[in-house]
Amino acid sequence: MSSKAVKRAAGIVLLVALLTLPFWAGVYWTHVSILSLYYVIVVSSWNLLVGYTGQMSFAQVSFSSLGGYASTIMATRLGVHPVLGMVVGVAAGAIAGYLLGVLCLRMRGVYHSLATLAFAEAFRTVLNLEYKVTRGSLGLLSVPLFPGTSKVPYYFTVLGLAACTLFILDRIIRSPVGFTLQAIREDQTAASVAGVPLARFKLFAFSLTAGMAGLGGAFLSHYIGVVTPDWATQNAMAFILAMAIMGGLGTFVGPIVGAVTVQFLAEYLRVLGRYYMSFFGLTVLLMLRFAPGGLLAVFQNLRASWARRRQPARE
Amino acid sequence: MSEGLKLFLSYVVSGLVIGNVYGLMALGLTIILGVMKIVNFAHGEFYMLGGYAAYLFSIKLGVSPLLSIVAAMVIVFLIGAFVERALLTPFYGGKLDRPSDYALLMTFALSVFLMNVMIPIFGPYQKSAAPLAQGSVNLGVVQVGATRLLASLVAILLMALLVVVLKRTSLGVALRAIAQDRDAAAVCGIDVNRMNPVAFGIGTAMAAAAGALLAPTFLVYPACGTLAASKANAILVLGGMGSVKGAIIGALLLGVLEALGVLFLTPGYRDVYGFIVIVLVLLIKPTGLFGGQEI
Repeated sequence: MSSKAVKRAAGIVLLVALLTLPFWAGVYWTHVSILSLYYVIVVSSWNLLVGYTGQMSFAQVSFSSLGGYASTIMATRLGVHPVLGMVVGVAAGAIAGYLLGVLCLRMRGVYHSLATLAFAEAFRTVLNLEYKVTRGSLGLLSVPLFPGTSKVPYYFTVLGLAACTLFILDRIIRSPVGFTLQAIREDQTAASVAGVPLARFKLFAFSLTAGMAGLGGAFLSHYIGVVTPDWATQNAMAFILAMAIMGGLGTFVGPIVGAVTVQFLAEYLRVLGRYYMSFFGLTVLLMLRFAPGGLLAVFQNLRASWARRRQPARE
Repeated sequence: MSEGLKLFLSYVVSGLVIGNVYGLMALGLTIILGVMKIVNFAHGEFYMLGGYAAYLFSIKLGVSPLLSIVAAMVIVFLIGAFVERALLTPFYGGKLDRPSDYALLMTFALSVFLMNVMIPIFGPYQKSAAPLAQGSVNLGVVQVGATRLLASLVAILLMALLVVVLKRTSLGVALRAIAQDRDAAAVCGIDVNRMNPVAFGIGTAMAAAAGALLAPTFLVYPACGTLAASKANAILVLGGMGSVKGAIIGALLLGVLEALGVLFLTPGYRDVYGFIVIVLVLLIKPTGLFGGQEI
């Protein structure tokens, strides 16, 4: 069987498994899968900004929590349907991302990372302090997206949202826009000299990825039923980073693999209790130190060395 | 002197007192940034380590408070130098496309690790180091706690010491040369790669000193460095990246701005002012107040 056929068969098996997952995986693992897919949305979009465009950002969790808060406030205070709330969540994320992008346009390198970090911290402080709107650290109770307690409709919703997100990201990455973004990553000055309107492309990347984060956050708030400032902490951002790094920064598949791996790993690591976050930090640290390319690169290296070892035998 | 002016001056003075300790923190960041061209996102966690070291030495071992601060600096210097050598230096071997991005992510991961590893070790509760001095001192317009004032004086002393080291010793000249031009420094015979751990160690020791100095007043807990770090970051932007003068003046400015913000606006948002300062500075003068000057 050719490797192409193997790949196609594997793809079909994966697709069937994904489409039937809630019917054989049980309630608990369906729940974990829903969370994984939420992270696929947030991490893959963050990867477009950081991995492809080279604009370091620590504010992705701010946008996802903003999406959650916006959608929840729309649904609970104004009584609109959660779906409309989610649309507002996406818009809120995109607008906030655009504004942060405008602020960061004049900054490069270190300044840029610092400004996004400062924004994230300030945003979290505001969430905590504006208790009249956000109920502070208690968080806001949200409205469920679907009636009843079944997780199945949520699973298919988030699967669809993740698929749409990935489809859009894939289209962009393969298009001239994607190449332009990568040119900005490689050398801003050169790209600008070559005629790339830096501001327009950076703002596009900022608002698109923030909007996608807003979408994820809005969905999650209606699924979990509560949104708290904990979503916007540096620990939450570390989770996003861990997923991107674990899979492989600046690759399309990497963040997807990373999001699912880390989320499932995290479920097993919960038995560590209070050692959980430190063990998690250590894992990311060691991963960065010994395999900065992520699992994907490790896998490719293994395959390459396996192929090399087989080579002499064939001759 | 009218009551209003007195109140105003008292806030300015207390802002200056705390600003000196922020300056120590920011100076450490500046050294690391100058030599390694990265912002140490784990700087707050080294501040926290300094605080815990001061607590261990002064409370658990009964060492005098001032000696505990020295001990905290020495220990954190060693930890910092080791961390740099083990985790950051390998990125600059030439295998990676964007080493400084990975180094940045590494310091972020380090921050998460250090912050959370302290929870099982020391527990989530707040600890306090032994106070440096008792009572309070009358500065004319305001009564300042003696511990806080002494902390401020020690911070000034340490900053002065660091400036002397940077300007007068061969180590300082080497560090400044690397900050100016890494390759040229290497050509002149400076072992640039061996200076990285030294610079990181000195920088983190400064953070530890700040943490140890503020441990009696602001208490020590696993996440206590986050706030201090965000202030140091704001100062870094305010003063202009990599400028020693800028870091010190920026720190005093931030201390005063925060105190006045508390006086005129709301105290709850004290820690958002740092961000507002960053935004304003970057919008008006993106290079900071003293941008472009070497360390």
